[in-house]
Amino acid sequence: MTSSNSPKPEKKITKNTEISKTQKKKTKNAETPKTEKKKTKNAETPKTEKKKTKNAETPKTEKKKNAEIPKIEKKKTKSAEIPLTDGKTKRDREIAKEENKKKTKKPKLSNGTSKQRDEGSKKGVAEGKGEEGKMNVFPMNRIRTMIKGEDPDMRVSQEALLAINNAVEKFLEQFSQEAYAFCVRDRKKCLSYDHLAHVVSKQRRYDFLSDFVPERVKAEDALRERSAAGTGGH
Amino acid sequence: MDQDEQDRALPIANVSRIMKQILPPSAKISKEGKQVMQECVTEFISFVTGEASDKCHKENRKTVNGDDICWALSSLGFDNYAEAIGRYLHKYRQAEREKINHDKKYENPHINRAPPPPLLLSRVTRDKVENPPPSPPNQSG
Repeated sequence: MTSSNSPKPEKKITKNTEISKTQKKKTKNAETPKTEKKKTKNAETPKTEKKKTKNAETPKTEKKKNAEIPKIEKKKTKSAEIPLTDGKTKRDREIAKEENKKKTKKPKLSNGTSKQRDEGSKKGVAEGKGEEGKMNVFPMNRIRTMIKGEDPDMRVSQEALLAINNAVEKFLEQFSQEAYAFCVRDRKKCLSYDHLAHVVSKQRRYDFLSDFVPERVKAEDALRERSAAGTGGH
Repeated sequence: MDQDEQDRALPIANVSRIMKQILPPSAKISKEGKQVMQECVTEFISFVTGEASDKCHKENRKTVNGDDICWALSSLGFDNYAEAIGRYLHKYRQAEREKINHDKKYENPHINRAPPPPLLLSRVTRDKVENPPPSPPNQSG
C-alpha cells in the first residue's frame, strides 16, 4: 500500500510543476509582445509630439523675432521718457551734460552709424516729398524725436518742425561763419574747438551754450583764480 | 544706449555738410569742431523748443505751431531768424492752401497723397463761414 501510494503524489507534484512552468512561459510570451507594443506606442507618440513641438516651435521663434523689435523700441522709448519726465529743466541739462560726455567718449561709433542712418533718412524723405524733401536739411523724424524727449506731452505740428529745421540751419551757418572769422584772425586753416568757444564767450546770444563749450583755461591760471578766491574769502 | 544717444542728436554728416557749404573751400574743420557743433545745434533745438512749449503750457495749449517757434526765437535773441522763418511759414501756408484748392477743384484721389494738417482746414472753414454775412431782417421792414 505504501509502495503503491508513494508514486502517485510524485506524479501529481511533477504535473503541478509542469503546469506552473507552462503558465509562466505563457505569461512571459504574452507579456513580451505587450511590452513591445507598448514600446512601439511609446516610441510613436513622442515622435509625433516632437514633430508637433517642432512645427509649433518655428512660428514661436518667428513670433519672438517679430516681437523683439517692438520690445526694443518700447524699451528705448521708456528709457528716453522716464528720466526726462522725472527731472526738471536743471536736471534735464545735467542729463544732457552727461550724455555729451558720453558722446565725446565714443566718437567713432556715432560717426559711422549716423552716416548710415543719414542715407536711409535722406532716401525716405526724398521719396516721400520729392523736391520739397531736398529743402529740409535735417531728418524730420529725428527732430521730432528730440522734441518729444524734451516734453513728451507736447504735440508738435508740421509747421513747427519746418520752422525749427530752418532755424537750426541758419544758426549753424551764422555760428560757423563767426567761428571762422576768429580762425582767420589766428591765421589757422583748421576750425577747432577754441574758435567755437571764443564765439560763445564773446556774444551774449550764445550764452545758453556756455555750459557746453567753455573756453579753455590753463591749470596755472585756474589755480591762481582759486587761490585768489580763497584769500578773498579768508 | 548708443542708439538712444544718437537719436537725441542731429546727424553729424548733415552738420558738417552745412558748415562746409557756408565756409570758403580753403577752410578745414577739425573732428572735434564738428562734434562740438553737433552738440551746440542739439542744445539750440532744446533751448528753442523749451521756450515754445513753456508758452503753450501757459496758454493751456497742447500743440506747438510755427508761430510759437518764431516767438521763442525772438524772445531768446534770434530776431533775424524769427523774421526769416516767419516769411518762410507764410509761403508754406500759401503753398498748402493752393494744394488744397487744386485738390478740391479736380477731386482726384490720386493727387490727394498728402492730407493737409487740421489747423489749415479749420482756418479755411472759418474763412468760408465768415465770408457770407447774415442779411439783416430790418431791411424788409
